[in-house]
Amino acid sequence: MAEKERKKKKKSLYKTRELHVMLLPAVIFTAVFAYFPMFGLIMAFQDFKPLLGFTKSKFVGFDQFAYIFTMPSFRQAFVNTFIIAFFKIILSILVPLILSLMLNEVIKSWFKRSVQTIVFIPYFFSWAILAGMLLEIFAYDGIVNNVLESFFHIEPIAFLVSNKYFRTIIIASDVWKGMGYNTVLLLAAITNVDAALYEAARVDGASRWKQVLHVTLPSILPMVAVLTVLGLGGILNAGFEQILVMYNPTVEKTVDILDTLVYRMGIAGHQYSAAAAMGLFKSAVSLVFVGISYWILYKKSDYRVF
Amino acid sequence: MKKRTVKRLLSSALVAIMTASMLAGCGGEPASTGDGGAAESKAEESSRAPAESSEETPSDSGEAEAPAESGEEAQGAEALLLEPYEEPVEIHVVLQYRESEDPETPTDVTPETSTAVKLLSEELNINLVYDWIVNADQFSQKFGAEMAAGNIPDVVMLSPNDFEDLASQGGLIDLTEYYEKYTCPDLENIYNFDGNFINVGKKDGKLYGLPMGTDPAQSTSQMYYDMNQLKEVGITSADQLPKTIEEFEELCDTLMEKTGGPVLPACKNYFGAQLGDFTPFFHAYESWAGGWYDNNGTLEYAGINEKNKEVLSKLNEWYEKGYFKKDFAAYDIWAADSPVVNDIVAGKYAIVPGSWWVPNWPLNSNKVEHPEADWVVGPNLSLDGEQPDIMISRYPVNNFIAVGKDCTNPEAVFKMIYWSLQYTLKNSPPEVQNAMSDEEKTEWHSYVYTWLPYRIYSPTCLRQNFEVINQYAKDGKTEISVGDAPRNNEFWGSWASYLNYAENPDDGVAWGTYFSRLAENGGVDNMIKTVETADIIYDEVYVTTPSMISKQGELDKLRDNTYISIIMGETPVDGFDTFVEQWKAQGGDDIAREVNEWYQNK
Repeated sequence: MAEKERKKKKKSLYKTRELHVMLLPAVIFTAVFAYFPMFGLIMAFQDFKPLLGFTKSKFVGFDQFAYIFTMPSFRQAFVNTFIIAFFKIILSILVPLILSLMLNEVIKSWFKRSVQTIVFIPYFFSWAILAGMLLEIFAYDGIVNNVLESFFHIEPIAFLVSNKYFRTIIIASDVWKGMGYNTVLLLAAITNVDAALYEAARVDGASRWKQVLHVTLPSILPMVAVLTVLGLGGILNAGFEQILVMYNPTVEKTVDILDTLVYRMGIAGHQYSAAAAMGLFKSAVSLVFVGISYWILYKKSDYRVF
Repeated sequence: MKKRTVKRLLSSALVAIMTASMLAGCGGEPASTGDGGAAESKAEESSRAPAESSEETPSDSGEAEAPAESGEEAQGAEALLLEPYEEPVEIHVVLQYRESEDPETPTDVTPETSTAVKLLSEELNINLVYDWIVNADQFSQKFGAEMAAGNIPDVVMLSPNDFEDLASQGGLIDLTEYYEKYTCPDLENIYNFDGNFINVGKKDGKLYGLPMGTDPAQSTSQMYYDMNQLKEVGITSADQLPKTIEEFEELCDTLMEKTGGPVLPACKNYFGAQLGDFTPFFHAYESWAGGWYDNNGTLEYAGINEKNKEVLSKLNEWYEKGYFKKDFAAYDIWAADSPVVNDIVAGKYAIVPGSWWVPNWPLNSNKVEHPEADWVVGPNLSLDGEQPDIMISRYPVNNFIAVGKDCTNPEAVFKMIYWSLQYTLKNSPPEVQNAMSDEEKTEWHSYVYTWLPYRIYSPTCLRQNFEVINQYAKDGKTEISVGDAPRNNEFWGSWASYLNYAENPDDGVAWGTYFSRLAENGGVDNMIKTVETADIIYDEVYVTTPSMISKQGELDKLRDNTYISIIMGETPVDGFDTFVEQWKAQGGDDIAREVNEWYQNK
């Protein structure tokens, strides 16, 4: 019996050998770049000195964790990460949702397509380029302040060093950059809605607005749920690259996130162990969130990963 | 179908998260750049031309007196230093790249094709290999990543932090015996100018690096005023310039009324930037953002001193009044094409705080664009009009020149340094320069000192040249022989700038070099006067302790953020007390313990 089963397995493995070979690069990649480096996490429990290596560096147990938990900048970064990621996740669903519903109502297809293209464009630019533009636009003597001053007679605001506004700029610009992508995803979902449903609704006398509310929205809800839940797993990834190229010490209080802090300490400050401890801590928290999000996904939509 | 897509998405997300648990690497722009490094290089600036001369190799003293032993020994070292290797020796170096400061450097010259690389290979058989080259502001990150991989260059300039860190891990070669064998008066003049300085590079009696220092007086800061602009607010002579903070504030208020502000350049490097920073105002209150001073035998950290509250609330007052740009803290004065510097050059400010070299850059560019500008150095500000106490470093060490553990020929570093010194000394006297063919000129301008992993700057040269040249000027000399020149690599540059200014007093660039280095009441003169008249408090600590390596960076950050936040009115001044608590808890107390231990046993 068991013999038979094994044979069967072997056979099917042989049958699909091309597919398995094709999978190989991905497996190797994951092993080398994701699993193998995990051994390096030991440095979070050491006073790691690169020249002494893992074997000779002093083992300090949880000292590094004790140290990072006393750091005000760590606590601050932790809170900032949550706040920024939370708003980014919510808004990067909400804004494209509204946008795609609106686009769907547009009758002229050339207009719809050009808007789609235009909102998609920023997605392709790297943050290094966009940051340069944004910093220019929001500078004290930049366009935004000029407009505010000449049209609304508002005193110029130092956006770039303002702990009141800078976080909003970070979140808004990220949502703006990414909205084209999710809009296209959602539009695709909307197009897939069964036309018969609309017909039925029209027969029942539903207005455009009612159709959106009772047909379109419910139909694309699963897609929205998937996007949200996927976002939840990345709640501690609040956008490293963007913040690294846009922030400055004055606004660290509101926009410094765990990843930028790890970068500053680990790479720029050569504090490998403390940075690794932070990274590990972040991963642990992320794991919890990923677990929760998968569980929700499983319960609500019956998708399973494991 | 849909299901599978989702699965794939999920699993790749998982992989991404797992990957993120490693130390996030990758490039990107730096959060902040090391201001210290940039400042230091500007200080060295222009001056490189120098040279000294005198008969090529052997030192005068050795030859003249010929007291058998010492003379012979010195000569021995010099002969050894010039001896080429029989087989080619590879020296691996890394570079924090900056454009050449010499405008005449040919544009197609790269570090690999520069004169030093070519001649070191031809004359000494040393092949300089650049393992990697990154822009100066990326260096710290790149070096951190390379160090994590255990890659250490053969010859490298290290920050005090990295120096201590690497030495403690056994990453550097003990240079003690090489130093004894290869040192000579010319090298001593640089790395051991007072007979004691070399010890800064020693740990447990072993020499791990050559300290690169500056004159402690160079950490003073001064106030530059444009008399031409101040005329319009009724200041017509230098003795009307403010002496006290109160008078200074009056002047700023008047300027504010006239121009609407801002009236003072400011940047995120608010302390110690040496240009457009708040250092002179801290000094006026006899307070300092950093440094360890001796208080009855115990070292205390100046950055947490209660007294700083006063200057911070004053600066906050000025910020609210609009003296500084509202978003000054977003700008790094050392960033390429810094808007702060551009504003100074454009003549937006009639007042510019800065170090002795500021006339040489950027005020010279201002004078080129606005020849009517008339910059002078004003009195050092204080509360009562008297010269305040100042804090200067006992030994300002910017960097160490060290040799990595894998270097097979540690003595090569001495040969390279000595070669550079000889090369600049030989080629910079005016007669030599004037006699150069075009080809030789190209070669000379393709020698870019910032592309080498060491500097040959003698810490005493500013004062020495100031005194010597002014003496010659008094005697009416316009020509001097190489024998009359002091042996430092800055001399001929200064001498040339003296001659140049005498000839072209209206040229902004000539004015800049002259006014910074040589003029009466110029940059260096005022710097010397300041340290000679002021009561001096020394920053005693010139070592790096283990806690400093791991914690100083975050502590500085904490301090800077707090200070700037108080100045900008985001944190009330009482936030200072919270900062002091945090500073102590986050490792400040550990550092204090370590430096005091070191200080007692020194």
